[in-house]
Amino acid sequence: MNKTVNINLAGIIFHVDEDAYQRLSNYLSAIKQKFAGEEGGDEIISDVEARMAELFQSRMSDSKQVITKIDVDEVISVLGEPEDYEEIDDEPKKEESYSSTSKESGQSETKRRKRIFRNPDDAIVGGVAGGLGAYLNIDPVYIRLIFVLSFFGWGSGFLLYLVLWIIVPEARTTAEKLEMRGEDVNLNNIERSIKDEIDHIKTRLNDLGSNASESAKTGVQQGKRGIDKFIELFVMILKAGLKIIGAIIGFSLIFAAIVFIAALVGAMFGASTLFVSWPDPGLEGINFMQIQDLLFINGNHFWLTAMGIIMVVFSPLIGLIALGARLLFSAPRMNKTVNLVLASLFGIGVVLSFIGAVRLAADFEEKGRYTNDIDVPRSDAPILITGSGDDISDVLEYDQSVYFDGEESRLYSRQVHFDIEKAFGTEARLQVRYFARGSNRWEARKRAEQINYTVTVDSGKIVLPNHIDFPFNEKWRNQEVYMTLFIPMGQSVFLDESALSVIDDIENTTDIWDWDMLNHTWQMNNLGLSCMDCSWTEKEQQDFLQSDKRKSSPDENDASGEIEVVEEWSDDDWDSE
Amino acid sequence: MKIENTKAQMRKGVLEYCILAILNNGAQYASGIIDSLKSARMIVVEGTLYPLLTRLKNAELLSYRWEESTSGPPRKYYALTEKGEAFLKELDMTWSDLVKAVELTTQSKPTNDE
Repeated sequence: MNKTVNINLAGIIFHVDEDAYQRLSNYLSAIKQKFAGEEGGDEIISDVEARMAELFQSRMSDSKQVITKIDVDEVISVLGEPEDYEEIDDEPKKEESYSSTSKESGQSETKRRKRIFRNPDDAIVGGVAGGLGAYLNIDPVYIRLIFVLSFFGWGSGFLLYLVLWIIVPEARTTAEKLEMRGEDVNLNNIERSIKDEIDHIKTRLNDLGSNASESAKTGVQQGKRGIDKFIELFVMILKAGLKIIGAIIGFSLIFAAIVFIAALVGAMFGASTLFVSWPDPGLEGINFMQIQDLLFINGNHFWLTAMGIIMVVFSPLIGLIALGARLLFSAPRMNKTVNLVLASLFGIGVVLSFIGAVRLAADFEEKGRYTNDIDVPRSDAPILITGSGDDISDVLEYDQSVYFDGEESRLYSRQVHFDIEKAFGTEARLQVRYFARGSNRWEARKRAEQINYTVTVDSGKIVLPNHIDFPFNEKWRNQEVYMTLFIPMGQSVFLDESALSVIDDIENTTDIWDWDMLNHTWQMNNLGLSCMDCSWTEKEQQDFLQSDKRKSSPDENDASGEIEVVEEWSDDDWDSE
Repeated sequence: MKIENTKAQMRKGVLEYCILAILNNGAQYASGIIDSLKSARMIVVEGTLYPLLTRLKNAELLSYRWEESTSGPPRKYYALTEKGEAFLKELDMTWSDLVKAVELTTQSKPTNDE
């Protein structure tokens, strides 16, 4: 008993023994390969198939309904082995290519489409450079040189090599090796391949035409030729356009992905200033590797999250490069396993980063607080509130910044907030509250206690440094210091300019911005904190408060018309911001 | 240099001429052309012919029409075009020139030897 396969040969159905089918299919695919991409190749194949169908049919009868291997062998012996087939592309064509393109004599006998493969015969590592060399028709040595040199460009060459190694298939069969060499990729050949494709369509249309109207007159054909020409032109323009757009998109995809990978790798190994600055400008002076200690609970937590993020970021990038390569080099589709691996890496990456993020969030769960009250001696003169000379604004650009001092292993932050409120009693008092976050309150409080912030309170003077610092191994857990100066009724304070970065939205009767409060004396009275030496009257103050809650510098307030004044103020607001 | 190669080259050169000559006697189905060529021992297998026919057709020396067949798929009947006829005439002349030239050279050979 034999299993049979049903085949359709030139529109006729045959039952073929399995081994016969194998032989037949090998034969036809060998022929197809031989004429693949050649002018009229499709036609030859259909001619051959039609002839085979005819020969097979002559062997069939009521008593014999299945094609055996012997039938196939005999038919093939009539038609001849693939190597007996006359090559279409012979001398005249060759001469053309000699004159129009370079003198690639040895390999121009077949017009194969060039595809990129890894070359196992010319491989040092994975055959990527060998394959690229064959594809671009350059000595692979130069490509290897470029790869080696780019290893020093933050490893981008190494990564690119790995990616190519993964996505570019190895040339295994002879056909693939020939395809790898193919033709030069130049404009001439692109043009020719486009022409070939148009010829395919043209011959199909012609066949269709001659099929439909067997007795078609030449006049009709003449007309058809005109339409053909039009279609030809249209298709040519369309194809060329699509090819160019595809190549551009492919190139941009690859380029973008490589730049992105290089930038990421660069950021990881501390070259952030050269490539991109780390997205969060708050982490001045800190490179990616130090975040490990700063943010993450322990090494495992860091590596888990980092692996997750890398997988999430790189899997799509590799996919992008593969897509780009397909558009640019018409490289073959990535095989399913690679796609599956990339997809699962992405999925695992999402899960890992999610776990990492949840674990990190848990370490920020609870806020801990530690309070220190300092008595402020009563003073008849206004208490001078001033910043300390010890400023770190040259390294800390933003209020939220954290600065890592490598030598001292301490972190600096400007999370310092100062407010003034009315005291209930008659004594002035400065309350300093230290905050930090942790997985539980106890841990958070312990961490808050580690914050170093020294306020100097003398008689009539309070010195407020504008930054806190804490040990590096305490990690960054949103450490902050909030201070409130409680002053009794009648006590006044003078806010020095140097306190600018520390004062935080101090409530006052004029409701003005913090920076406008500087360099003025303020007294606590029934209404709240009132300005003692601002050059405006009670009336103006009232007007000001009613005028749409505008906030402005009192110094500018000498205008007469209310509306004009408002306009002026709003301009000033813009300037001061 | 192999003798087989030389023989194949020689045959290949005149194959087109033979096909055109066969079709000059009237339109023919591919297997008809093959039969004539086979009986003349010009070709051994049919595969040689199909690419050649396609090429001649693409060069507009041949045209074909489809004809239904009682046994099997529709057949292509090939015929010479005007261009093909002109081409054939030129080949005829070239061929007779060639034959003369070959005769002259091969006949002069023994005299050289003498």
